[in-house]
Amino acid sequence: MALYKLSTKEAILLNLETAINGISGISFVDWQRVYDQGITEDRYPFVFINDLRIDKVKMLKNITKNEFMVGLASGVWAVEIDGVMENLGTKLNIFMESLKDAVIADRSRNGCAYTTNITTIETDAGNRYPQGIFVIMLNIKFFSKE
Amino acid sequence: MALNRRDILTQLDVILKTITGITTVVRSYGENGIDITQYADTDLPLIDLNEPGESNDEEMTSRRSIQDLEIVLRVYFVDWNDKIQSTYETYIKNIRDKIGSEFKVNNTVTACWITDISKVEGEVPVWHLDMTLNVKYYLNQLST
Repeated sequence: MALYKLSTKEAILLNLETAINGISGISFVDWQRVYDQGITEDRYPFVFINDLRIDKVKMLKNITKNEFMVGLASGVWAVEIDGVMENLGTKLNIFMESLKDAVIADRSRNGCAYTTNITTIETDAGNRYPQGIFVIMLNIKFFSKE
Repeated sequence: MALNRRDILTQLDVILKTITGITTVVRSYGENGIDITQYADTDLPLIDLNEPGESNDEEMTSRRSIQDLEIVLRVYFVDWNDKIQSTYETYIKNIRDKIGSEFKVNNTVTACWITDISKVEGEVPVWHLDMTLNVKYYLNQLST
């Protein structure tokens, strides 16, 4: 039997941050950022947690359903090891899988959400080589008072 | 005895309010019934008694006829499970039992019984289903 509670987007974002900070090898996590200016190589891979949009549907006087869209902007950096350049695509895909696994390991966001779904994943198609950027869009359904 | 829809609906409202497990009974008059978003979760389970249509079943002698009232009770309930639990079935049983034991609706009708129960609709956490009552009563067009 699943139990859900009324929650807030702040609680959900904090849970997301905790989950992402647990990824092996993660160097930097921040909120509400798009561009990586000032992010030095040692802070890759990074994840920016972006709160984008909430669509609300009133279910009852004191219960509102929220469809919360969150964008995770992330970057990896391919480096040369022993004279051999890392494969950027592979590095990006490995980190992407780790991020996806971390996000969906607990879709309920520790009981704060009804569910978490990944809706789209988009990459920069390699145009910033040796940096690789990708964005994972999440749809998080949760209930709140208003 | 002069029977009329006003007394029938009033008595039906009274009877529904005595059902175990039902928190609220509301009479509504619009085509779409009540706006459930105006009610809190603590108001549910809730029965929306929508003003019924009426049709003539059979003309009798002496300006009397048998009338049909087609009453739809919409039952709202809260369940936080995506696979809803069977608790709502208890509400249905209690409503059915009450209607069955009060099939003359405090002597305002000839007969009243439940003809249809719809599928459960809605989504987490607010669900609803419709129970259709078929109510027959004598209408004396002289005395009402």
